[in-house]
Parts: sequence; structure tokens; C-alpha cells
Amino acid sequence: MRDSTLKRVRKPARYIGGEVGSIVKDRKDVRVHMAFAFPDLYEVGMSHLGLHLLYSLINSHEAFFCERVFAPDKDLEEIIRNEEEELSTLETSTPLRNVDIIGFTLQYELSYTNILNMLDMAGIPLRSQHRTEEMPLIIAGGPCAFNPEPIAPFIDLFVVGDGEEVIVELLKLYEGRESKADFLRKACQIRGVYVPAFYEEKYEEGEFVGHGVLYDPAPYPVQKALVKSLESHHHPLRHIVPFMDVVHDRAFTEIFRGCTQGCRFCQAGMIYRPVRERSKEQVLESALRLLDEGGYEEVALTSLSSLDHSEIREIVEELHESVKDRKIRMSLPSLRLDSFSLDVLRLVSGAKRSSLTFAPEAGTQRMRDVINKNVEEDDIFSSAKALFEEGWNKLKLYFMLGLPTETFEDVKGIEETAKRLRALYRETTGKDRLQLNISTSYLIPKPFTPFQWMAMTPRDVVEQRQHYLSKALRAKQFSYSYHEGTSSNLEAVLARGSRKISDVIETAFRLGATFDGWNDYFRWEIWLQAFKKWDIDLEKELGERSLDESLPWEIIDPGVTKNYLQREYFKALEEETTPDCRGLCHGCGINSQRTGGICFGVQNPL
Amino acid sequence: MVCRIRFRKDGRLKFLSHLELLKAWDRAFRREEVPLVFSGGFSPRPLMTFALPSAVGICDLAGYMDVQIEDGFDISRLLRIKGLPDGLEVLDVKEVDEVKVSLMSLVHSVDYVIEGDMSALERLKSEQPLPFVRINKRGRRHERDARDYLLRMEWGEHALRVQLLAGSEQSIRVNELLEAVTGDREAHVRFQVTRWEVYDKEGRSLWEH
Ligand code: SF4
Repeated sequence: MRDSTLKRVRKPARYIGGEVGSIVKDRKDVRVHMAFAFPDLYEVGMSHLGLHLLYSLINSHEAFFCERVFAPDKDLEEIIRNEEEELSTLETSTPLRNVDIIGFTLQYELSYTNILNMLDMAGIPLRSQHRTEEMPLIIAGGPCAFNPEPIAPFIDLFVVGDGEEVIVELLKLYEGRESKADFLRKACQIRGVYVPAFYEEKYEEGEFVGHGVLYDPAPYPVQKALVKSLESHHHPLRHIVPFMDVVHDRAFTEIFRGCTQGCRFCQAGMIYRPVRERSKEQVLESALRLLDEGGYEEVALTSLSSLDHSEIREIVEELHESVKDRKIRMSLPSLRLDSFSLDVLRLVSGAKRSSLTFAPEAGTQRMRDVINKNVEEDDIFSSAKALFEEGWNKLKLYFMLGLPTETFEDVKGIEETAKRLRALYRETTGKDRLQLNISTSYLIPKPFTPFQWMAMTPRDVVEQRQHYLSKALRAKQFSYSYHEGTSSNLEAVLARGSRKISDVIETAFRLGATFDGWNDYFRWEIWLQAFKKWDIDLEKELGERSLDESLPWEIIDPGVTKNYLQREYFKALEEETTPDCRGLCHGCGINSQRTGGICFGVQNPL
Repeated sequence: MVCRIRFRKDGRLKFLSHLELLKAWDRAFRREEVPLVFSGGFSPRPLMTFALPSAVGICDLAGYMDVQIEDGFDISRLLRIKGLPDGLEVLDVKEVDEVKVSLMSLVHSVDYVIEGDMSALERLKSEQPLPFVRINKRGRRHERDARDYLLRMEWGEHALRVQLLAGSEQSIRVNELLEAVTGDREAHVRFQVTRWEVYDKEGRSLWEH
């Protein structure tokens, strides 16, 4: 990128590359040149573990070169659109259209228009069918690839499931290809690879009735890729150390993948099964190496539910011992309000007294039972009491609204929880200094969760409940914030849609939609216009699905069976909980289908 | 002990903001296991102070910083820090016994080298005033003459060296000078600017302190 461009944009450090840990190779020496594309700003993308992991994995092969590219902010976009600059890679400033493969990561549905925008800025046709042989191959992976259909026409190939399992094999295959078509035919034989061109959606009287296979050897459904053991797999000991402040500016190491909690709203908890832990020794080695090589001030032990690691206490204690003299902070995402969490928390936080975040998700025990959020009323208040006694006074609590079977009582439950905490704080400390931050989001019934058949609660209903809470939580100790309904609705449509939605996405993009996940940029009226143009009935898209109808995402097989999801769906309606499956297997299917009967190192947990 | 460092920041890294530069040094020192002295409080920070943060987009050959390090550390190690990002370099280090006056309060003027199309800067050669507008904290507009801040000029074929006031009482940014001369707010985009040296009131390099 030109100096004159960098002098004109905000936060030019986003676009300069050259960070410690970034890798530059001579393009003459590499056989496959790839760009890892994150369809959001640098500071968001650099906080994402998958980027560091795949970057380091691909570049560990001499023949392959992986660079990065992020969505440029609007000021740079304008300069690119005026043809004064090109959208190019960070490491070598190669125009994006000149690399062999562009790999988009799909972390959230509201970044879809940014994918189109990046292709468009690079001068690459949006739809696979319009791209010629010389143009880059466009691939994509990440959690949203579990329903690839809404963006299927734009992407040549999806990697579903654990990317590190598949990517190197794909690049090797690409290296020896005869043509793009030849490559795709061979690639679809790799487990976890979905090539949209080999399938079609079938409709009867306008209703989606399932997929047809257009190329016989292509598998149906497409099984997700699965790394059996993280322990034996590549894990980077060096990340790219950003110059600018990024969202999570710290060393981070994955301590396990998957989750056994079984929260019924959580897509990640279903699609990343089974749990695969890394040993204490490996976690410690990687955390310390990352700190040494990066010089960070903070280290995070990440996973969906970090306290569930079988050796978490030992890991935290030993890591604490090794870093305490170096003024390095530790952080554990996803803390829970129970006594074990508090023990670990004391070690992690040391003297630091900032705010603590917890996610009870619902305000009443009944509601928490419906969603299978394993938090007990008593635990919440006894842990809070302990925290208050130790001097904590800032808490952040996350809840959801629009949950299945939610009534006004459940909403009042959020208010009551807040008020009881305030009273408890007064009682415990004799002071009035509690700062309680309450925030609510919408339940979005995501594919491959037990709630996938449920309707999204209508916006006006949720808005009333938000309104109620804003009034109820007016006291100076509280602050209440909530997610916007319109963008949550859009997220639901993009998450649950069929290929038909791709036309809507393209139209919305042409009308100016980008950065839909950013409140300042999100423009609902554009999307309404696009839905109208394609005759998409929003209410139907957001509505209930019947248990026996075909669903667009069933082209993918996540390993967790439909039968299990249905059982959980009915149990939810019965307000019946399903305990953590480390104690007792509930037969979700992942072990019988994928892992040869093994889950957590136990043969046949069934 | 206090260690005074003279450093260079150029290439792509000239686009780092001051805070980003601070973090880059902090992390480089930690990677090198330099025993930094930290501030107290809930979020301890290493004790680093700079003479004069250079603006985003300007190469700096005269970066000065004081950093506190545990006694007994061999400061020559700082000259050999491995793994500094391309564009950062330690040029010189020395121990200062006691910091009586902060680096920042010593600053009086700065030498810049401006490269680019010199014909655009012809007006500097005349005697005409070079007005520019500055808006103060209360939003009041003040007209100033850039010439009042200009101590010295030295013309080359493709480059100009200027010495500008930069102290706490009177200072001008190089972008303001370029704007005053060309009448164009965006003029700085077309020039390459390098900070060459920082001087005290007597015209001595800060390094001599
Ligand atoms: S197979 Fe059983 S133990 Fe394994 S994740 Fe599924 S429910 Fe849990």
C-alpha cells in the first residue's frame, strides 16, 4: 500500500503488516499462495485464534505461503473505490486477485456482505460460476459453514469442521491440480469438504424439500472434519503480535475444544463435539512459549467453558507460579458463579479489581432449565456474596430474551436477580457501591441446536420486554443495555436460510450494506428492500419449522444426530434438564459416528 | 536505574501512533527479558517516558526515551535486542544517574528533513507571512504566522531541512507548516518527512544531556 494512502486513513497500523511473528516468503519459492481473509476490521480478526493457528500451520510448509487480508474500513474503501489503491495482502502487498486461494473465515453471519465487498473491491466476480480459471479459488470455513447455503453460490468450496485437519491436504491437492474443476472433483472426497456446485436444492410448490447430488461421487450429507486429538496436532508456539490495540490483545492458547454442558441454545456446544483436551504439560508449554516469544502482558486460556478442563486447577496454579513475577495477567473466559470458579478466579485475578462477567442467560430457574443452563439460584447468590466480601463491586451479567416458553415472569426474574444482588451487596458490605451491568441479547435459534425448529420470538414482544427492563433497572446501581432486534432478526435469517437467501445478500450488498454487525453501519431498510425484491417472507423465515420438514443445513452432518436434537427439544418443553455428559453419556451420536465409540478417552460411553 | 535510549523509527513503523510505539517497546523489552521497573497500582505499567512523540507518518531518527530498569542490568544488551520489528532500532544507550529535568521539558526545537517536490514550497523563500489557523481547546480560532516558528532553513535540490520550535511554550507541527506554505490541508500526504534531531534551548542535541 502506498505511503500517501496510509497518511490519509484512520489507524494506518491496521494496514502495514510487519508485526513480530508475521511471515514473509519469496513468492518465487512457493507453490501455493493463499490469503487468509477475515471479513471484518484488523482489530477484530487479529483476536481470533483460528487465524493464528491456520497461518502458522500453512506457513510451516515450505511450498505454501499464507498471508492475511482484513476488511478495510470505510475511509480506505473509498480510496480503493476511487482506484487510487488496491485491496491487497498485508505481508507482501499482493493485489488480492493475484493470489491462488482466498480463504474466508465465517465467524458470524453479519459479516457476509463484507465477504462480497472484499471480492468486489478486489475485482473478483461474486459468484463462483462467473469466475474464470485464472481467478483465485474462493474457499471458506468456520462455524457458519455449518449452514453454508445462504452464501453457497459465492464460495467454490467450504471446509466444515476442524480446518487444521483439512487445509494442508487441500493445498497439496491444489498444487497438483490439472484444472479448477479437476481439483474440486478430487477435493470433495476429503472429509469435511463441501463443494456447492455438486449439489442443488430441490423445491416442491415453493417449499424446500432437500438436496440433490449433481456429481455422483460427492458425498451426501457432508460429514464435518474432526481432529481426533488436539494434543498430537500442530499448535503454534508463536502468534502474530499486533502493534495496534486489538479486541483481545494477549497471548491465548486453546485448552480444549468442544463442550459437555449441553446448553440448548448454543451452536458451538453442539458442532464442536466431542471434547478434546490438551494436556496440562502442553498447555503450559504453549502458554509460556507464546508469552516469551510475544512479550504480551496477558495470557488467556480459551475454550467454550474453560473451568471444565479436567486439570484446570493445576494449570492455573502452575501458570500463576511461573508468571507472577513478570507482571503478567491471566484470564479465563466463561467463568461461572459457583464456588469452584471463585477459587480459580482468586488465582487468576490477583490484585486486579476490574469488573467480572457472568452469563446466567435467564432470570428464573424454570427458564434456565428449559435452556439447560446449568446454574443454580443458590450458587448465584452465595458466590456473589463471597465476591462482595472480597471487595468486588462491578459485575456484568448477560441474559437472553425471547427464549422458548418465556413469559413475563421470566423477564421479571432478571429484574429480581438484579435487585436481590443489590440488596445482598448492601447487606454484605453496608455500602451502596455496587455497579451492576445487565445486558440482554436475542435468542437466535441456530442450526444444529435443539432449538433449530423454534420460531424467533417476534421483535415487538421482545422489545416490550426490553422496555420493561429499561424502566425496572433505572436505579443508579444498574445499567441496562440490549441488542437491537433488527440485526438479530437478520442474523437469524442468514443463519437459517437456504440458497435463496444468497440473492438477498447480493442485493443488499449492491444497495450499500456492509459491516452489518456494527451498529453504526447497519441499515435495516436496505435489507427490507432486498427481501422484498426477492419475495422473501420474513415472517416465514423467522418462523417455526416442523420436525419432519427438510432443513437447508442438513446437507451437513455435524455428528450430533437429529434424533438427539429432537429429544433435547422435547425435554426443553418439559422443562427437564440434561446434566453435563461427562458423568453420563446422553447419546448425542458423536461417539458412534465419528470417534469410534470413544469420548473423553472412555470406550463406549453409551 | 534510568536508561536513556536513542532510537530510530521508520519504514512502515512510521505509521505507529505513540501508544502503539510504547507497546512495541514494552513487548520488545519483555521478549528480551529486560528487568523493567513497573508502576504500582492495579495495572502495573513499565516506567517509560519519551522526549517528544513523533506524529503518525513521520520517520524518526531522533527518538529519545528514558526507561527504568532494575539495577545491575547490562544496558549494552539493549543495543542487541533480538526480534525488534523491522523499522525500530536502538541507536545508542546510556545510563543517566538522576533525572533532574524530564526529557520532555528539555525540548526546544526540532530539525526536520522534508523530501518531495520543492517547487511546491517556493513561498518559503519569500518574505511573505505564512498564516495558518489553529483552534484551541475552547474551540477559538487563532491565526498564526508559521514564520514565527521557523528558526533555520537549508535548501537542497529535492529536500529541505527546517528547524522548528517544538517546546512546551511555542511549537508548530510540520503538517501545519506544510499547510501554511501550500494552502493545502492534505499537503503532507505528498511529502516524506524525517525528524532528524531534537534540540534544547542552547541548540544542543538532547543526547548531550
Ligand atoms: S457421545 Fe455422549 S459423552 Fe460424547 S459428547 Fe455425546 S453425549 Fe457427551
